[in-house]
Parts: sequence; C-alpha cells; structure tokens
Amino acid sequence: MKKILFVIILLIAFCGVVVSQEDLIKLSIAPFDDSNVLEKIGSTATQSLTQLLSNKKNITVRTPDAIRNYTELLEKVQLGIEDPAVLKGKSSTLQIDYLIVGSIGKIRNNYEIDARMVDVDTWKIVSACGIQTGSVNTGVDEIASAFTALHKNDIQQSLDAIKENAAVGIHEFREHYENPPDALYCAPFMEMLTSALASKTKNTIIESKFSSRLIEEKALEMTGIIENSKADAMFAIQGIAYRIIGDIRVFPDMMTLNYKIINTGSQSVVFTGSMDVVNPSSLRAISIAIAKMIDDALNNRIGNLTITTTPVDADIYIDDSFAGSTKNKKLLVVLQKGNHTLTAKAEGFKAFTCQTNFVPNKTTAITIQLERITERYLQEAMVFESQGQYEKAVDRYSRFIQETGNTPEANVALYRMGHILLNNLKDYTKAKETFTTLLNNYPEAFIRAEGYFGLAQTYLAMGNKDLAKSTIEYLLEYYPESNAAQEAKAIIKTFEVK
Amino acid sequence: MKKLLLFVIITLLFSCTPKDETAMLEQETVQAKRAGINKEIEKYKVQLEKAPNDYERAVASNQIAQLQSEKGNAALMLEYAQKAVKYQPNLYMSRYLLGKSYNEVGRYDDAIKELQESIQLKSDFAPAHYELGNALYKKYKYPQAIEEYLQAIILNPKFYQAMNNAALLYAETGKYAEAEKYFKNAIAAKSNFPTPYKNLGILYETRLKNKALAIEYYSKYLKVRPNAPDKKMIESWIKALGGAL
Repeated sequence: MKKILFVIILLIAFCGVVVSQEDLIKLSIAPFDDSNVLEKIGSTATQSLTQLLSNKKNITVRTPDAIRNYTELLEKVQLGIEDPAVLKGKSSTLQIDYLIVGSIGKIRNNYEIDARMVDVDTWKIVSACGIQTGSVNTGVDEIASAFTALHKNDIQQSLDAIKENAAVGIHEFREHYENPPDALYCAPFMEMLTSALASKTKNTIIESKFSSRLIEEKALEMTGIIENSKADAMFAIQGIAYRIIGDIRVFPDMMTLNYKIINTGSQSVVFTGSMDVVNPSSLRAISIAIAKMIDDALNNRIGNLTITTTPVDADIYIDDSFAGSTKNKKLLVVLQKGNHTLTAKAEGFKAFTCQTNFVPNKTTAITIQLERITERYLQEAMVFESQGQYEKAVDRYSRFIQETGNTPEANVALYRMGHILLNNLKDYTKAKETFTTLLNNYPEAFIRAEGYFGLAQTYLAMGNKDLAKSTIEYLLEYYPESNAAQEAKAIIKTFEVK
Repeated sequence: MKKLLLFVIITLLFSCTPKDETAMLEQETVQAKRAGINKEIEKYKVQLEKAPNDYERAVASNQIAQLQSEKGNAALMLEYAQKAVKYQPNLYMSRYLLGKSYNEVGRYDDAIKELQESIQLKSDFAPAHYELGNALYKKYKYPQAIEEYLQAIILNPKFYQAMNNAALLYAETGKYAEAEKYFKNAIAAKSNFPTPYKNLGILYETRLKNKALAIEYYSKYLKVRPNAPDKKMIESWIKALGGAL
C-alpha cells in the first residue's frame, strides 16, 4: 500500500514538473551589440541580464556560452561571410524558444539600451523594451523587469493576435552629413524604431539584427547612391510584406529624419514621412512617434487599388492628381482610407469620374469602361457660332466641356467659348473664368499661349491695363514663338503710344 | 496625517510618469522652425505667396522643392515640384525636380516621363541624365540606364555618382573590366567619396576573385570613412579574407 502511495506521489510530482516546464519561457541572450559606443560594455550587460533573468521562476535561461556556436554563426551570416543556408535547422537543437537580442548606444550623455525577445523559429519579435538611461545597470534592471513580467501564455496570445498581420522589417537607415557629427545616429535609431514598433504597435515585426543579411546578398551592397531594388524581392521571399528604409540628414543646426514604407511585393513606396530633430536626445521619443505613424499608415490608412480600363492607356487621376496610366493593363495605386475622387481620361473618350470610399488593408479592384466622345455638341456649337447664335453656341460648348471633362478635346471648346464670351457676348467675368480654366488644365505651350492672349484681351476689355500689359509681357517672354505672341505684339505697341 | 502622506506619494507617482511625447515633439517642431534650412524654406514660401506671375511662382516652388530634396523630405519635395510644373511646365528645372521627386517616392515610370521632358528642354543638363539613369535602373533597364549615366559623365566629367552607378551596372551585366574602370574613375574624381572603394572591394572579392585587392579596397573604404555604420561588417570581411586590421 505504501509503495502504491509512493508511486502516486511520484507521478503527481512528475506531472507537476512537466506542466511547470511547459509554462517556462526558455530563452538565451545573444551578446549585446556595443559597436556604437566607445566603452566595451556589451558583454557586461549580457552577463547582468542573464544573471537577473536566471533568478526568475517563469524563465529558464541557457547561458550565452551554451549557444555561442549558434550566435557566432548568426553573426557571420549577418555579416555576409556565411551563407544563410548554414542556419537551416540549427535552431531546433538550441533547446530554447526565444533569443534576446539587444544593443547599447550612446547619444550625448545617455545610454540607449534596446532589447527584444525573438521567436527563434520565425524571427518575429514577441516582446521589446527600449530605455534611455544614465546608467547601464539601471537600464539592464528595467529590461529584466519588463521580460520577467511576461508569461508564456501571454506571448503565445500576442503571437496569435498578430499572426494575420502583415510582417514588417526594418531594412536600413543611412546617414548623410557634410561634416562628421559628434555621434552616429542611424544604428541607434534603427534599434529604437524596431523596439518601438514591436512594443507600441500590433504589427508583426521581424527582427532585423540578424535577419537583414538573410535577405540581402553581399553583392547587393554595392549601391551607395541608390538602393538596390533586388532587396525587395528577397524580402518578399521571406514573407515580409513591408520594409522600412530611411535616412538621417545631419545639418549644422538640426537633423532631418526621413522614412519610407516600401511594399516588398509591388516594390512601391506606400508611405513617406519626415521629421525635423533639433535635440538628438529626443530620438527615443521620436522613434515612438514614428512607430505610431507607421502603425497608423499600415493599419488605418493604406490599401491597394487596382484599376483596369477599356481602352487601356488611360490616365488616372486620384483627387485631381495624376496617379499613373493603365498602359500596362493594370494600375496599382496605394491610397489612404476615406473618400477619393477617381477620374480616368483617354484621348477620344469621355472622362469618367467616380467616388470611392476606400477601405484600408484591402485590395479594391475597379474596372472602368470609357465611352467614346460623340462630337455632336461640338459640331452644333460651331454651327451656332457661324450663324451668330452665340448664346446657343456657348450652351453647346459648355455641354461638350462638361461631357468630356478635361480631356484634350475640351481645350478647343474652352478657347472658342472664351472668345465668344469676350468678343460677342461681352461677358468678361465668364470669359476670364474660361481662359483661366484653360490655363490651369492644359500645360501644353501652344494652348497656354492662346490662353494668356485671351486673358490679356479680357483684362484690356475690363479696363485693367496693367494686368493686361503684364500678361502680354509674360506671353512674349515665355512663348515668343507662338502665333498668340505675334498677335499680342500689336496690342503692346498700342500701350506704348498711350 | 496618513491621508496627507498618501496624497504626497500619489503626487510624486504622477510626476514620475514618462514625459509627454506629444509635448516633446511640439517643442521639437518649434525648435526646428528656428533652424537654418527651414528659414530658407519659409523665405521661399513667402516669395511663392507674393509672386506676381506663374513664372515667379514656379521658381519659388522649385527652390522649396530643392531644399526639401536636401532635407530628404520626399513627400514635400514632390508637392512643390508638382506645383512648379503646374505653374510653368516648360522649365527644365521644374521637370527635373519633379522627375527626381518621383524617383524618391518610387514612381519610376512617371520619373522617366518627366526626366525625358526635362532633357528635351535642356539636353546638356547632366543631373537629369543621372536621375533618368536611376529611374531606368529601378525598372531593370540596365543598358539604357548605363547610357544615361555615361551621358551624364560626358556632360560633367567629374560626376562621380554617375560613375559609381554606371560601374555597378557594368558589374551587374558581367562587364567587370568596365566596372573596375568606372569605379576607379569615380575615386579619381572624388577621392573622399567612400562608396566606390567598398564597391571595388566587393567587385574584386566576389567577381574578380582577387583577395589582395579586395582587402586593399575594403581597408581604403574604412580609411576614407572611419565612422562607417557598416565598419564592423567590413572589418569582418577583411578578416575573413585573411587580411589584417
């Protein structure tokens, strides 16, 4: 009986051990990167953190020495001297689930310490902590506290929560300066931004410390002036939907921090942002603000819109700005959420305009069938004009303009209508409006010259000689070869006589 | 007494909360407005508002676009370059800056269109050829990109950035001797420009299999750029090739 009882007790104890083992966070700590500080304090920080976390009940720590081979291999891959393939399957032998990677930087008199807990299989960051501190020991203490507060279930839950979210990788930031600044900011800032994105947003962030070289070959490093687009394809292969690149430009009295979010699939820039920085000590706060902006851009603002048109090669305008053409059959546009006005224009076809309520995080497809322009109104207008029925002519020209939108065909109608309003109907206000529309919508030199001439004549008719004169002078200076300029010379002589 | 103590503790706790990030950023913005380059921008914004005609507006918009380009603010650079073209479509500079802005925001087809317009208006403007080369490069049109870089070099024989980019495209297309020549030309044109040193190192190591020269140029790169952000990486490359630091 005693034996049976003993076996039962042993079994219960064993089960307890097994269960508690499952709840443990098994991790190790990679050596902290201290290459951006003069003092070599990375190994001390690594040891302190290892010691602090080893004393915690919910964490089991493998010493950095136990996984040294792996981290050294990782570093070689990161530095481009080993093929990424050598890492395949290695993580399964580590007996850990997570690796803490981190760095220590120094800006002005403060240490910037960043540490991130990374899932060793996926390289997704499961927890992050970034601290600005006057003392490395204090910083390491705070980081240890942050990681100690974690529970295995919480980590799994947070991983599940972000599973469907697009993965983001921070690729590179470059420094530009004429005179070397007192400190280098790019490397510490990338660390801060990675920590901020991982801790303050709900995005899936892929750790860049060891992954950037997994997705870039050494040969692609050659570009200094322009980045190499091939990196996007490599990111896409890794399942990273967006990569973030940027630069820090250091001027004598300030810095400008620029960043871009690039869709690795389409290789398009989906968001750009910029911020001026006067005090480098506030880079940590700025990294948090930028992380929130990136989060907002990715989750609340951005989505893709694909537009196909019949016929192909239509110009697409979003909110009156040219967005591209459909000459490659399909145009992919990245838009911010909300209502947008979409206009498609093609020569010989009526302009098509519609409103779209744009939903973020989705690809919306729009197919547009453009209708051929019938020149009925234009022909009618010209007949009425030749018969001296000017009001009817203006009415038909207006209808034609309304129907065609700002397509090239409408410029003739605008020009004729302006002249009727000016010379026949003497409606100078409407004539001025018509010529101004012509100038605003048609950048071609010939049409602009005619527009300026019409506008000058209107000003003259309205009695505003100064404005008429300066408009004609402008026309003569910048469009001297045009017929309008030749005609305008006669008017300018009149001014001189008077 | 206990209540008073509790009140003091609570007050202390609240005063220890992290600094208000928004307030810090607002302070930053105010400070930044005092900075030199922003003063220049403000000056041209006033000029833009007071400009008597489209031409003057285009010139002021171009100036702002150029300053935003210096700051690397692609969105604002694009905004002002677009304004400049709208005001005065026949200025080569407006078209060039718009093309450059499109390159910055990744709209390479638009960049090509604008830069070709700029070149039509002024065919001897080397930076437009260089930017066109960059746009073509992004569209993987390597031979055309090389042609534009070479044109930029003909127009400006000291255009070291164009030499570097032409060289790396020669390397990409397997013309290693040409690549070597143009990287060296870039160094001759500007000896303190670090990129071609590193690129030559990579060319010697990965393509021409010349370890000694690779070590030499990696080392030169670090000498020219002692604070290089990739210093640690380059040092490890040198070490892996058997070189001494």
